[in-house]
Amino acid sequence: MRTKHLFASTGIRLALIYGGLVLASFSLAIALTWVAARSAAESDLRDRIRLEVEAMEQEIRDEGLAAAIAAIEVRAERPGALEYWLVDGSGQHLAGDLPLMNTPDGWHRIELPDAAPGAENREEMLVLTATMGDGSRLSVGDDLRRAEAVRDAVLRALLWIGSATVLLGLVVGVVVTRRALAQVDALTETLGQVSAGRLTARFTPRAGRSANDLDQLGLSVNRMLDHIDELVGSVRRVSRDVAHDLRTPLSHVQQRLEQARSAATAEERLQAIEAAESKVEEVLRAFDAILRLAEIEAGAARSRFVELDAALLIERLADAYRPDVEASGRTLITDGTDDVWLRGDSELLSQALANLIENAMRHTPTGTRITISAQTDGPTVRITVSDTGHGIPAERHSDVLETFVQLDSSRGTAGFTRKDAWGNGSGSGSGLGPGFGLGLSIVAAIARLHDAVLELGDASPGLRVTLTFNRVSGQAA
Amino acid sequence: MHILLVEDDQETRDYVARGLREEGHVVDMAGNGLDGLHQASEVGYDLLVVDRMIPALDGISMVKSLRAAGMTAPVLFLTALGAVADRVQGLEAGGDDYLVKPFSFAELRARINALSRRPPLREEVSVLQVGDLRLDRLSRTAVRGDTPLELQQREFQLLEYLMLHAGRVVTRTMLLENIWGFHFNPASNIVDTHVSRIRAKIDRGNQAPLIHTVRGAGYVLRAH
Repeated sequence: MRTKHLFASTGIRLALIYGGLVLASFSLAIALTWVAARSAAESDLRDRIRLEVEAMEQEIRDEGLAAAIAAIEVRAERPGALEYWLVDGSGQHLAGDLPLMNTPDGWHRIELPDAAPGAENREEMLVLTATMGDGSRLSVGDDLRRAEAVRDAVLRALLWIGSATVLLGLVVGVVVTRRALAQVDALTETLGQVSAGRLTARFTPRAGRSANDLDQLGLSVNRMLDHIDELVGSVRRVSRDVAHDLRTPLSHVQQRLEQARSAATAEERLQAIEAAESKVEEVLRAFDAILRLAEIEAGAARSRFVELDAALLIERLADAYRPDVEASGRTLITDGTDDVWLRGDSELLSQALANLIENAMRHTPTGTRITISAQTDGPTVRITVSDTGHGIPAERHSDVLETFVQLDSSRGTAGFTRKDAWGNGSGSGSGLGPGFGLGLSIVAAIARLHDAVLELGDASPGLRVTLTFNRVSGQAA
Repeated sequence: MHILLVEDDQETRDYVARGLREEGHVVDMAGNGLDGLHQASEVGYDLLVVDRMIPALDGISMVKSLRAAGMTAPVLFLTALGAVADRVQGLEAGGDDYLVKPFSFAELRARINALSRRPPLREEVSVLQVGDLRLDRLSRTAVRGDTPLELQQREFQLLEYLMLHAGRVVTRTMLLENIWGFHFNPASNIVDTHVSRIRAKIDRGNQAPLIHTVRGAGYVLRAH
């Protein structure tokens, strides 16, 4: 399978390069050894032949030609003996069976048919011919193959080892590569699915000791995909909610304008136009909230953080909202202690608290008491907005905090429609009216900006929203 | 008033200019920062309305240059950037007020009036009087005719602000910014509730109400 693919992989390429290098260096080593072995064997043989020629020259000089002929006959019979060819001055054969014609003095390489019966190879003889003192000429030689046998043995051993090494390298390379390739394939497959729009596709890493860096990579990819999935999910939710929230008031605007066109009296027309204007304002407020959210999430406000007194902050908010809350048949009380200092942006914190107060007003029955408090607790400052309304079931708190949730199935009616407002991503949702869910998203974003922990709790009865900040020592401002 | 309007979006420019002319102002227009800079340098305008994001030279740089050259006319920035940092930047550059787009013409008109007729000495006047309503800024007391008014601190501030701008429209946004320091737009009508509370205290039982609601804009405090 995937032959082309296999060769495209880095692992296989590395294995091939490695194998090639091993092969090349072995070939070089073999060539050098071959040359060295050959020359060593040959030079041994030359020494032996030269000594023999010198010995025979001595024999002829000292003992005479006849003795030398006898000696050659004897020596030629010994096992592993050299081969001889002795002729007199006129070229007449005297002794030896080296089937040579007369050769001039010096070293020769002569190929002869193999003396052994049935052998097909030709012998290669190394022969030294010399003229003796009495004019006779002696040739002494030996079969070079005998020297070569050693050399060949070395060569064979080297070839075996070399081939085995190269083969082993290739096999290991291929096995390792295919293993890695399977992971790369899985990763590619996963990413391909993601590209095709299936954002839930995930790489399945191997567990335990067999896990390697590719599995780590896969896990990183999975984490990245989780994050992207979350973000895309939030964006989708925001788009859907924004579209929904804008469509409703915009269609109201359209209806009001149609009413204005067909109004019978000037008074009716004015009323319709004013109603349209207030709907447009709702739309603009939703846009405002979206822009505000983006601004907060960009984090630029951090550079403006100052140390501020949370007790003053909640007093100011309560002061602003109390008449409105009371007019709605609820009560608003504050519970602040002195010296509740934290680092932050008072405008944004005001907005967060305003959104929480408005939220409490919307979702509680009349007669509810809404309490804002700012307390120090060890190294932290806790600002809470709690009410005595129906609250949110405890088991839903984390849902509400984590993701879009609609506790009341009917959208746009009383009840809880707190969607991703408290969530982890840049999620948003709205339910009751434009900017409403966005308002809660803004609270979550402001909390994040301040590194504050946002929690939902049970005020028994009612909902308690807690923002926990780091406390600062505080200076008189 | 002679007003220079520096704005690159023609629709907004024509809309604002028409509205201001109907108010009786003389309006010159510039479509980019460089033209605005030249015109403002040559003509002594009473007020500048400047969009922040305009071609050639941005509004901030333009106003900085004019301020450096000694121009004292009030500047109102129009901006699509609602960010707090942007607002602060605009005010630091020499702007006197800002308005985030989209805005209603009533809001713009109220702010221009507040800027143009800001009486420099008025801030130091210790007693404000409108009709038979008197407010003493030192003793922090107020009376309507012979009846002392019991105002909470925030109510006093609110009334003081309305009286300082007597005869001129004050918008809800202006009150949110100046009385509470809120630079966001609450969904609730907290301003209306506060205003109706002091209205109840001031105008109660009186034949001539002082605080008037201006439809689609805000409030105005005037004697008749």
